[in-house]
Amino acid sequence: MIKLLLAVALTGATLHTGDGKPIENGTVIIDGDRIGAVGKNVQIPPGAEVIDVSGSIITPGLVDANSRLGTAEFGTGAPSTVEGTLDEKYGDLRAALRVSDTFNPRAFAIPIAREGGITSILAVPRGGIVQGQSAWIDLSDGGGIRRGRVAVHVSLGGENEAGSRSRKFMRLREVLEDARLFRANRGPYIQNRLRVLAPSAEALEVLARALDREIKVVFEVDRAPDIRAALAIIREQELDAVLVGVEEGWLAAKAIADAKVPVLVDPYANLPEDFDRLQARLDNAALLAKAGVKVAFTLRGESTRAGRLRFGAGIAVANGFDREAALAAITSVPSDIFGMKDEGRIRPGARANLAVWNGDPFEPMSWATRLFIGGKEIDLRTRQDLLTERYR
Amino acid sequence: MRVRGVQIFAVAGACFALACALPSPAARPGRESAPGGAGSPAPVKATAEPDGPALLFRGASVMTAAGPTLERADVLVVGSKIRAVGAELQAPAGTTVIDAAGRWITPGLIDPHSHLGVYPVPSLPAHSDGNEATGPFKPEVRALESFWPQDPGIQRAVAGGVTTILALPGSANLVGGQGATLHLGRAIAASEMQVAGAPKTMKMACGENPKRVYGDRNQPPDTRMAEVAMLRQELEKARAYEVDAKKGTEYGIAAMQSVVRGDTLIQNHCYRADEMLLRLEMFGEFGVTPRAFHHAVEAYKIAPQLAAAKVGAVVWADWWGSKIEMLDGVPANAAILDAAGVRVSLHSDSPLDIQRLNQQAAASLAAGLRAGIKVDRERAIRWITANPAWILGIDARTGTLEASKDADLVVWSGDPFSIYTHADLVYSGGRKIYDRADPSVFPPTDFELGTRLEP
Repeated sequence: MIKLLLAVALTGATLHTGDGKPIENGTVIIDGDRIGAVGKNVQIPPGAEVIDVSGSIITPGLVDANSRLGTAEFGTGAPSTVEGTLDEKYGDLRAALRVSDTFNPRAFAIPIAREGGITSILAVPRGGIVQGQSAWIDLSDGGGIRRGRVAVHVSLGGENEAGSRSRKFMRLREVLEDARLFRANRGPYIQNRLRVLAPSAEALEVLARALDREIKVVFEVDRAPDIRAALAIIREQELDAVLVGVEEGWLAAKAIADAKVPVLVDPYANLPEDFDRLQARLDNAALLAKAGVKVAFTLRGESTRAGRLRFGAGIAVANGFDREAALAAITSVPSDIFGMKDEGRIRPGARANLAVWNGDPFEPMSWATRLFIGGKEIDLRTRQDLLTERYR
Repeated sequence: MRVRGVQIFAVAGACFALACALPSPAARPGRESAPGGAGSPAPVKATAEPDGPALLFRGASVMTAAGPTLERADVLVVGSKIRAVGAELQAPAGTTVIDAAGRWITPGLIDPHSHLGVYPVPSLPAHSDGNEATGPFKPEVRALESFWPQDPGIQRAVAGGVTTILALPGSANLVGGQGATLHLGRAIAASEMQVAGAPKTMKMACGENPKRVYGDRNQPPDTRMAEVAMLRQELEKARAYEVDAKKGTEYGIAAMQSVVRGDTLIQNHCYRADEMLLRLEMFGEFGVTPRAFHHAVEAYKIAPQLAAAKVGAVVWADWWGSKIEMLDGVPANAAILDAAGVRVSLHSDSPLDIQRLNQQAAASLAAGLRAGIKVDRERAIRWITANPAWILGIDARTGTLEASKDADLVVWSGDPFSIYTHADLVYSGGRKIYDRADPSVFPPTDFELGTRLEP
């Protein structure tokens, strides 16, 4: 207990701060759950535990803002470990669904994600057209939900279990108009004097908040024309929006930049996986950034292999994305996009989410040697490590 | 992972065993005239002549996959073959010299478990040709006869340094059909891509997939025990098989007989250690040993047994947990197996991961080092070259950079174990099949021709 009260000083590392220039031979002070001083010549508080990490690289803990960690494991053979996918019983308008109700902080995949340096995620719903509300998660043991209702998620695009592309756009327009009517007529709605509205009362409240820009709306969309159509709805409804996927985003880069809508993209995506993504390419992120779009990286719903996020950042760099910007795209940028501005950067006052690496964190030959979430050091030993020790 | 076109989770595009076990709703019987298992189709790969034009790669870091990395070394190629590897090689008159100073050269990468061509992109019901899931035994079908040479994934795999794959049927069936050992490159028909002299292979599967696919239809197998019992019976039938002059050859049973006789390599999809040991025992009743267990996420639990049985293990760097039988996957799997003397290979099972086998080798090596296992780069490069060549039975001709081997090689822009490195040049049988600076060497497939846009 005493130890928690004392400050910790990490010394001798190169600090990549997540939103600025690297600091060689720097020191970071961890003071409770916050970062204290940061820099080259930092006064170490008396009694602080000094951890010499010379030769290491320190980055902010990594962030994937479109993750299925804690809500999807083990697939069809263990349906109780997978939330909200193909189940049509929900219907396709699920604005009332909250991932915060079902997120499992003890998911097997979480320690393995932490081994990959991940300290925070936006845990997202999946399935339907209006999919539900995401939650910002602190991945420390006993951490859990930092913010429960971060954004409402909408999935557009080609035919799937939620129907055709046309149907999805049509339903979205219908429910937004329903919500608009509801917002202006809450009294008559309760008195049953309004026309029938498709979403439930709870869902209408959530959508009304989206119309009030009190909650963000994340659009999952890939095909360039769909991106433009989504931008039109965002403009018409004056939504506070984010785009995710956006594999053909480079073809609509200027429109996205002009709309000032940030994007979350998967740097691995370069296959014409379906007819919505025929123009996927590895320099999509670089082209979007060049056009002035705010870009964060995601593995787009990954769970068991969430630790690949750092390699994704490296792939983006190998395909023209600026190096420090790539770190920002998995730390400060996704945190900022979702209003968690005290995360994702090494700066006095920020939440002490820190990863210590034995080399370039984007390289597969490097690994995290220490990890701190909210100032607490995480035991990086995973169940996989225990299995390895048992059988090697 | 895609299941009937709906992404559940996992990296987009991954087509691992679960997805590939699902039959397409639009699946149709193969061509009726396809005589699976009979005869040996003529290989028609257009390689350079044995004493054709000479190429000298000068001054590279050369990872031969057969020994230590050679610094500032040369690789001399004459025609389709490697003539020499070493320092300061003399070039015959007329040799084309390629300056490779500061760059790295490795053998062409080999993926022993790919569904390119049989589950191509775009992944559509119209393209879903990897599982003939109309019965649990389909030894007569051949991946070669589903393979679509216009799969846009092929060009991207080559851009990742891959020269050779084993294209396999999926894992819906206990016996899924025959694999196709292929040189990647441009072709009109898959038969043009076949590796000459490659042994036949048979895809088999155990565990969750077959019992789910058939159990869900209330057909056998519905349990793991039925999977073993049914396969045992099928092997017994094949052992006793004689061609009935009146009926003519039954190609499926004939193909299985080739398996029982040890002439066809068994490539067995299997995750759990207990199931792998059961399979070894059951195949042992027939005097055969599988060539390799594929996916094999629990192989590290039985490394000494696999080494003693001389069975290969085809594993991943970081795949685990996408289904229950994958729960115990560990990233040090490859390193543990290598240290125990098992022929271990990495594989992709995915059109995305096939583009990054070199990075997968690096991640697997790092996981081994992190666990304190004695492995090194020279071992790790073998996990994507020499060892998969052995698993495919083509190690006499490819998989290392040694004199008289096929000139299948990659010139990398830097250290192949770095995320920032690109394959600059890829050669197959002495022929350049990819040049990062010259897209015309591997132009868009017919599918992408005229539709692919550029910035």
